[in-house]
Amino acid sequence: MENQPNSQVCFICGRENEVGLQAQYYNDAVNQQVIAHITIPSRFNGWPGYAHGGIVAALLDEGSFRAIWIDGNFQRTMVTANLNIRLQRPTPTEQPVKSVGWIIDMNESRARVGSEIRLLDGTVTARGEATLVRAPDSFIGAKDWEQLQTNWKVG
Amino acid sequence: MEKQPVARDCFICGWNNEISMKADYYNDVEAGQVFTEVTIPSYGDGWPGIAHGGIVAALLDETSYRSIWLDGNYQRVMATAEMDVRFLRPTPTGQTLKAVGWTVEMDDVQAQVIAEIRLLDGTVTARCKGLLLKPSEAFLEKCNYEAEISVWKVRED
Repeated sequence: MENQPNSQVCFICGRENEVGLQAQYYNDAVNQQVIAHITIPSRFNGWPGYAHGGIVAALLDEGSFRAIWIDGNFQRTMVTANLNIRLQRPTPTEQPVKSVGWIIDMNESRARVGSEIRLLDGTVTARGEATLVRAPDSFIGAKDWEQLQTNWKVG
Repeated sequence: MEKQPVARDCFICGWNNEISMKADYYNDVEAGQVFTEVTIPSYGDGWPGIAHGGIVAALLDETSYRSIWLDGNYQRVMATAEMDVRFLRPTPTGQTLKAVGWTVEMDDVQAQVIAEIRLLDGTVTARCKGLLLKPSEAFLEKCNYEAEISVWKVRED
């Protein structure tokens, strides 16, 4: 299965972000899903032993974004416009969980994507659905997109 | 205005979490809102200089939760069940932001809450609607709730 590249600074995947989760996503083309195995450190607790709802949201956001790269076209650029999440049960910290994302539908300018966080026994702790839209040129231009991409690397 | 207590470990507010944003929330009873002024550190980047959507969601989640404490009843405990976030424009890291939350309606078992993140000029960058539910006693026991609230404190200025 193909590993996706990671950026330099991103909170979830950034190679040089020492505080972040350093998640590695890969493409499961057979199941048409992107997957990462992650252990959320306890510094992201909301309640003791359990991840802050917002960190759960962060992981759902990343998992859904990563889904649009399932075909290996890592040039595709979108940003999250809307994220709707359901926190079904507590997501533990300091224990491996699985982040899974998939495309519901996608065209050139927008995508609807789903994502879940699962315990290793398959129990779903949280579920998200997001609308991504193509990043406006102004947004990309300001961030010097091509320069950024040169910093992405496959781990 | 009354300052709310903060937890020990919480990622957003915790007094003993080295990487926490150390957000302090205030009860603006007159406006019917809670608010904090906070700077998202650069470790919260999604794109360089722009907060990860999930970090934005985290701040909105905390802020909307904090609104149920507007009346100073810090014993009230709920947990986020659902959250709908709209990202209206990029939220910058490394600069002061204001996060504002209010409760739309609340009873003993649930609350509907809203939060916004604003630039200091008032521009709204993101907004969320949340549904909070009262957690089960079993859950509270599991995360040692009684012991936990005994170490909450109001951070000194």
